[in-house]
Amino acid sequence: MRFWPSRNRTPVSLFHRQSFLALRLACALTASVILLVLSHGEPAGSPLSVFATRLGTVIEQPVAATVSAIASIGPTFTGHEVLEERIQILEHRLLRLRARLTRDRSLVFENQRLKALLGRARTLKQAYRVVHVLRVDLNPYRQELLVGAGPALTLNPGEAVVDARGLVGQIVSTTHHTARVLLITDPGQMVPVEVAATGLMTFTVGTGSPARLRLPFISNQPTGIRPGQLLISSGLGGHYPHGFPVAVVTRVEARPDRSFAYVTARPLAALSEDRELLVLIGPAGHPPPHSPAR
Amino acid sequence: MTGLRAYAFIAATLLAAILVTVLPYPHAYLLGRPLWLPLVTGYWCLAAPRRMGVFTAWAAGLLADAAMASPFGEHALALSVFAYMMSRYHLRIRNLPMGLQMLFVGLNLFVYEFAIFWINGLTSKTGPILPYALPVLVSTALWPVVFFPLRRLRRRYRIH
Repeated sequence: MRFWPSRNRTPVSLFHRQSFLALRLACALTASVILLVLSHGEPAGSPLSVFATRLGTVIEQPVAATVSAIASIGPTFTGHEVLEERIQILEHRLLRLRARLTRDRSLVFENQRLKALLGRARTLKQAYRVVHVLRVDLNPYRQELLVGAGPALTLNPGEAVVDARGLVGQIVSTTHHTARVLLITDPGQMVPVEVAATGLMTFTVGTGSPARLRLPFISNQPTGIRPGQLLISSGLGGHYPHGFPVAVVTRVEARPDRSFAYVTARPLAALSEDRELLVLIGPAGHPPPHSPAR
Repeated sequence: MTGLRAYAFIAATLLAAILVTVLPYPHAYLLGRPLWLPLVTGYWCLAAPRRMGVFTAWAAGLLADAAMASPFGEHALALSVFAYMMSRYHLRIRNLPMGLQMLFVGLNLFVYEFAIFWINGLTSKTGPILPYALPVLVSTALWPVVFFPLRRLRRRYRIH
């Protein structure tokens, strides 16, 4: 392997291009390493990450087009009666949910009164925005969604994303029309949670599988945590609002040979099936500045 | 096909490979997701070594990084190593029978995937090892699936 092109190379050589190959590789490797070092740990707003996001939009448009084309195949070949039936089912469900909502509203008022009595002035009201899922990236080292937001919607990194069932994740970067949502199951994501039944504070770590979270720091001593218990976001750290359902504990196994027990949980949000999500606007967890202090 | 059009054709196949890689799939598929981009890159390294080399692979890898939101430069690094191996020995690989060719491609894919595993580890994105190992086996088995259709296209449009 000749690393540098030799000075006295013959003008006609069969494999003359190949002699530069190692040099090219060295250049490519150097450039990659420089990019990796520069981009590692950079905040979302830095020029390099903005460039990477822009470059990503080149491929995002055709992906979004392909996904919507695949999604439209279904309705095109579905019969009229089937669709009508589905509409009817959905309308019935809507009616049921509305009825339940009316009932729950009184509970909300009651809850707020009780909280006011207890001196906890955290308001439950939160502004939502509906966003559509354009792409799902669920692989072992990256768990994220790409959501499209209309031009009128402005989303900001750090805002929490939920679906009808539970916490989904948070927005990590935005472009003009899209935003990337890092899921709670991403290996780099931790969510501060508390066990709803006991109030035990801990946090979950993503495993790279959309169906499993780990709770790495549960003591081997009995803590009262049991399979089936609900985990809600504790609001610590301020990234996620307090009180959203996050996961259900699936397995608790004491490991006397290790420092901590083996505890896993299943996220409640349908991470790989959702088509529409809600983004919580504004700084989550903190009470709004205009809320009356009690 | 000559000049720019041949380049455009190769670029289109590479873009298609990235597109197919980042489409949404069920989780079971993703465990053994085929590495379409290195397979297509590898084919062009063998078939059109004057047009597809380390730098083209590097650029394609960078685009893949942007599309997958992986650490910027990760796939670029892995793919340029892969392209180097394929370009360096393209004359030998071309003359190998299909079985041995698959073995060689599989070995290079292992190096490619290991580079990604290693960089992910360095940037603190560790995970289980199986989702790295399985794609190598799946992709090795898929080498003929990429090789023969692309060769057919290449002969039809006369890309050298």
